[in-house]
Amino acid sequence: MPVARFLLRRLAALTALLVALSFIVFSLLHVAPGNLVKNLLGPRPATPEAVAAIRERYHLDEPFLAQYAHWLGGVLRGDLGVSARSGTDITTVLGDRVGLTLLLAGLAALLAIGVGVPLGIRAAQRTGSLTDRLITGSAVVGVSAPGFAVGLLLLYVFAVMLGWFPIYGTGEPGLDRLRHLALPAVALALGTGAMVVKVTRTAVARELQQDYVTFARSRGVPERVVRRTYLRNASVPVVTSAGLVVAGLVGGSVLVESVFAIPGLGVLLADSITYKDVPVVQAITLLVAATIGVTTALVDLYTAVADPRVRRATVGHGRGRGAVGAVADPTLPDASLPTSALPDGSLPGGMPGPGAGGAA
Amino acid sequence: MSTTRRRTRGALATTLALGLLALAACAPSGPAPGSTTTPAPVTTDASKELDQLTVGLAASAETLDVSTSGLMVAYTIAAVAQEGLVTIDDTGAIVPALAETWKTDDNTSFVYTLRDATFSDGTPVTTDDVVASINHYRDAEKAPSTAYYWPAVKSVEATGEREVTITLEAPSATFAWTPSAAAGLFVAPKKWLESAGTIGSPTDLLVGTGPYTITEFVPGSHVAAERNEKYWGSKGRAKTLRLDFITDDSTRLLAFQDGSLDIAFNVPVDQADQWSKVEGARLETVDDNSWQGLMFNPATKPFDEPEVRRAVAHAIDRDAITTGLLKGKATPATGITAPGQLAIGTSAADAEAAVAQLPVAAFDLDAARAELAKSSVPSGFTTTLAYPDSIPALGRASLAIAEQLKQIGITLEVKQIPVSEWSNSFGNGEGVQWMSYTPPVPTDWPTDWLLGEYNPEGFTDTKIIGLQAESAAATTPAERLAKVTEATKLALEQQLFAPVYWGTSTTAVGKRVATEGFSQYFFQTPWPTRVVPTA
Repeated sequence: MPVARFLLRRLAALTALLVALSFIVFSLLHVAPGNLVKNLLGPRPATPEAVAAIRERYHLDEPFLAQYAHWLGGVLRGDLGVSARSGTDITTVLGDRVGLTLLLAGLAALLAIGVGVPLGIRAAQRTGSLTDRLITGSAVVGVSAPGFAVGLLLLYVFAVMLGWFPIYGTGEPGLDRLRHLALPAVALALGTGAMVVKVTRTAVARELQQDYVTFARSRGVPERVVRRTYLRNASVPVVTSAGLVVAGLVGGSVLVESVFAIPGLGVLLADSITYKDVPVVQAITLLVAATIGVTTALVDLYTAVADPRVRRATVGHGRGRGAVGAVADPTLPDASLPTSALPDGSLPGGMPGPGAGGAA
Repeated sequence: MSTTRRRTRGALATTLALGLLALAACAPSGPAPGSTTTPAPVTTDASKELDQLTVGLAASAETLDVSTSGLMVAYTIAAVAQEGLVTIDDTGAIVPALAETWKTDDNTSFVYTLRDATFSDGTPVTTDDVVASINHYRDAEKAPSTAYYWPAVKSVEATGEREVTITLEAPSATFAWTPSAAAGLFVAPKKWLESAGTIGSPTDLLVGTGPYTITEFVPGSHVAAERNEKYWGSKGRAKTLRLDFITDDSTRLLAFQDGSLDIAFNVPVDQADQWSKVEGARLETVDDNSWQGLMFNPATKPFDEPEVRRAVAHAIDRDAITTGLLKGKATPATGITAPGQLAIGTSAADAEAAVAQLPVAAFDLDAARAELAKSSVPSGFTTTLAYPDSIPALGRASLAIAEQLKQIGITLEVKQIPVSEWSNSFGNGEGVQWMSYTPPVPTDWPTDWLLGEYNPEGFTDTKIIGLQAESAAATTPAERLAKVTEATKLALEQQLFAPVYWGTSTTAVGKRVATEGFSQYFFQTPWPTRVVPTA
């Protein structure tokens, strides 16, 4: 099964990536300013004995590689460790936060893609028009506006002035929680959505300038069919970049979480880095990296489905490298285009396709 | 504090000091400078009950266990549900809690007589529970942050059916404050202490005898509590209590404007106007005993020369910084440990007299120039001053100081660094550094650390360190005050420190409630019982 082989390969690559990443993060934390001993003891008089006791408990006197081996060994045994800051084990620390952050990021992704893609397509279809300028203009604002500032603005307008949404917190699970997460999701989605708009607009606009679109239109191919064709071609870069941007939502929600007082992974990660709480930082980075890894794998799968050239390269022949970001190259000969591009199987440009008449 | 106490694991109460939080409370109820309530308190209704009292905390908690986090926010939360043998009042003086009475004749042996009280799990409080709690919270391994406040103890034992006696190795002037929930003791059932997995985690909520019982804790989000109907003291007026962690200042303001919060912590200096405009709001501003000042490293050139240190000290315009930059929400510091703290166990007059003896370099650029002229760098030099990102006020003060220093030829490069880097930078050889220390506990004086053997700058003046050690071993508050004053005097004569300001903190109280006897110690007492509905 080529698909199963593809997935297995990706899984192996992801595992290797996670191990490498955990090592890099561990090293970075090791050299970053700050000191767990001082964080635990506080800026107080500390005797050599007190310092030694803590250094021993957290293996701080062992060589760097031995410290990493300690952590990795624990993980391999299924023990993610204990948070230095709260003394609770990682699964408890992450507990509800994972679900909350996933829900928030999911809502934001839904909004960013659900609104961003249609707007991008619209702007591309009307390049140069007022609609286009309006949409691109707003996207520039969206990309530039910092999430926390937008968050505060949203809070002021929709929570304080209009009173439609609660100001902070997460509420009870269920509809109440959705209501609490609505504004944070919008604040988080804004920057990402704007990015999606811009990527979509560029991709669709480029397809629209391709000869095959002009020819198809000139031959009277119904617009519905032409649209399906160029959208499918444009979808590869859109899905690729949207996948990456959306995966970044999980880790990028620090400021929004802080504004809306949501106990998510972002704030926990930021605090844990400051505190040098290694087990928590490692667990969150791995979780985020795994999310990104899975998302890119899904994106690649989609790319393979949408673009036969990539499918042949990625899934069919077992050479998967470089699949991410592979896009339809407009300079390639027409023969490389999906053969199903036009309803009668003919190729654009008036060349008779296999088993089809020349006239359209 | 004794040498042993210094030797025990230090507390993270510090994080407060780090300015990561800056919750806390401040200022005695007396006419302390900077202690104000605007507008005047409103009338209260003695019969009214509240369904819920909602409080917006400015810091977030990952654990409710004070003994491992030492965070001020953890003290605030624990004060709701747990008690020590004694507690403190508005002025920081000791008053009864679980012990109806206590006595000591020699500041060495302390005898406590327990009252009849019941834990939130329904079991009665026994002397066994008290002894087990004391042994837990003074254990440097299990409870590093509270163990810091425990001197060397000879024995802790039940000496009667309702009597517990604590005997110290040596007399202590400050021990009387230690077995309180404002410092180092939270009485809990022995069984629970032994069986709880992780004390203060969402699965092992605090058990105690306080006025409320914690029912839910979501780290980073909130704490919920309900009234403890079996509480021995006067009951809280709200059926339930909700403490929300809202770390963003603007969000907390919006929530307060909206009426979602009855009490909100940490009103920032530059937002005070907006907060005070909220209908029915009262702002309680109290001294928080925090010390902000410069520390010089006498081992780093050119700060090894007292003339250079004095030149910098003379260039600090304390009045301009406190009235201008900090809008009057600070007091120019003329010493190190704040008068409010020095007065504990003695009197405000004693404390003021002590501070008045301290030599503090006045703002005088001519004097600064003259000092510099006597040094090896008469035409000036360039140095850097870093401030932690968590305390923007220090950044503004740094720029003001840099401006004055420029006039005498010293170029001060001001830079912002992450708080974690800052707290890790003491004694690393920088010539001049900021110190900001907010003592979490009344008897915890900044001088204990700054002038002690393990001082952050690593100076080795045996006279100062010796005096500080004597103050730690003092047997009466008056003796402690005298020794600390002498040590501080020497340190300031040598200009090892340049005091800048003593800080304040402001709490906002909404229109539904009023606070009784608000002071810097308010949130370290069983505070929910002192919040009453307005008429």
